Amino acid sequence: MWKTPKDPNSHKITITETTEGGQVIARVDRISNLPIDIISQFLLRVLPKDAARTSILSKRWQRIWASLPDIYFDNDEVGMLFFGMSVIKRSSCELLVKKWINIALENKVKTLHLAIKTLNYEEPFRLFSGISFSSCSATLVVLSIKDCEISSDSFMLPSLRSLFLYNIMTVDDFIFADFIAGFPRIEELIVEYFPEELDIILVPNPNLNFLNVQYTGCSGKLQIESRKLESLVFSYLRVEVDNYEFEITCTSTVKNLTLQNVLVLERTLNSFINRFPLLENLVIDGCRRDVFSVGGFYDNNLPSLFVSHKNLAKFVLKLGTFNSIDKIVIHAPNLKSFEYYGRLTSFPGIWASRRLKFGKLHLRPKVLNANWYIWLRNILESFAQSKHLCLICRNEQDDVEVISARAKTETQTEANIQ
Amino acid sequence: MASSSSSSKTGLKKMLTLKSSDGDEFELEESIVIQCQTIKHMVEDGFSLIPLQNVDTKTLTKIIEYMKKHAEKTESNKEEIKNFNKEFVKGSFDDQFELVSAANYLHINGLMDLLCQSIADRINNKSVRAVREIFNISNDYTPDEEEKVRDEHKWAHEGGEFDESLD
Repeated sequence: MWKTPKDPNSHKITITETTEGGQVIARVDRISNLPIDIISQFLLRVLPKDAARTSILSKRWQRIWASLPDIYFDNDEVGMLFFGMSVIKRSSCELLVKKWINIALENKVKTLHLAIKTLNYEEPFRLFSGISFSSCSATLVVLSIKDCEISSDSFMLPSLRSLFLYNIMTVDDFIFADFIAGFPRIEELIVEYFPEELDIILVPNPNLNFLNVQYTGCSGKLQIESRKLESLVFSYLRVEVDNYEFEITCTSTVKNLTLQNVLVLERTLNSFINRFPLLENLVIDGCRRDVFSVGGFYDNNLPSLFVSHKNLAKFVLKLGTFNSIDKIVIHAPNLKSFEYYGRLTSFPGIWASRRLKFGKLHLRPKVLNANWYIWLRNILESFAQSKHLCLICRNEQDDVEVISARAKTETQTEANIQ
Repeated sequence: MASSSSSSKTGLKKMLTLKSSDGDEFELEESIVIQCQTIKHMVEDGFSLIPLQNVDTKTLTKIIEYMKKHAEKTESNKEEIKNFNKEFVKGSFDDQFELVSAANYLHINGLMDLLCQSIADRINNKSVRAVREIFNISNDYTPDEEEKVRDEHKWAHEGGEFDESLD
């Protein structure tokens, strides 16, 4: 009924004969014949060094320790732990990790997630020496790299579709364009926490469909040459989103745009959004204007927006606690869903969006001015055709009270008009 | 006994029957047997006779001994359980691998942990020779191959004295 599946790696039980007290006793090697997942249970309970030493016991044992799901090393040894692996720079330890990665590559992995940290920040794990990605160049489809150091010519992976780079370090003469050219068929690219000194993100790949750039210190230029680009996500990015700094060859294919906490220059938000004429989904979340006012504080109020997209179906606008927009002119005849967090912004033109079916308004009564009633009446009129309207008012007292009494003060009104 | 197996309502404890691969049957209270996750799931599915085709009578007897003792576990007899565990491991030395396979397959986490730790203790800091001897592992490397493997894991063989004792 529940027979343990036969271990494909099981081998013949070895019986050796020894003489003990004049008697011949058959001795059976039972431990080696256990399934690998049970042997792994033993090795997970011994020190890493002792586990590694079992590789020499017999051929059966050679690779078992290296296949352990988690390998912890104490501070003097190689620290390595997959998904948060830490390595102390030491030639023999590094070799071992590299060998381990090479085993995966030789076995034609399709998806590879590498997260290798060295304990010495100055000397990151170098992914470009001693590891041969060429052996799986035709099979690797998804590659994610975290915390390692890469060089411009680290990779040549023609079959790769998805690349995720997180907290990557680069060699001095790193050129992003050369690096990314190693992935000619890439469709999805996610870059998070790229180093400060990176000036130009040039993505010449023709098939790129999805690009997500987050928390990147890039203050220079972002250039995308794909003709199939559909989705763009920028979060916590200090890029000046004007025409010069953003070069996107084909903007008319972009359907989804998300800007989250992006610092924008005066007037550039407008021109940036309007460069994508066929947008279907637009999310603007907590963007700030990069202008100092007299007192040394950021002037966070965004200039008026003009959203004119004939295909726009979903628009989400979330303004942070300290910023506001006076006016957003909306010209979107196909708008179906509108979500807004913020103050009393006026939305001229929204009444013409006859297909508006779903509305969600988050308001903070505390920061509303005396005109709130007229404002609300006007905006509710725009939603006359909606099937679903949700009005959420959160009363924000001082912080302490908000935490303790959020459930009580949060009122949610849902009205089905029509 | 048959009447007792069906009614917890009457205050009688619900009984379950475990059947070993040799065909021997053991009747036990449900509260003892549910330490074993695999059986617990079967009980939840309504089984009361549980055939264990991978566990022979000898191993099952040992496992029942362990489960009975651990079902008595309270805050106050921790020391007693600890001593029991110690003796249990010592007493089951010859069957340890049958036990560990059974514990793994029955998902008795406490027993699995106890046995694995006891085996791990006999690998920790031991010399290669000692480990081979303790577990009867025969070396099938040629001297050249062995040297190569040793070289690849040089760091693991360096430094410190390794324990040559066979206990």
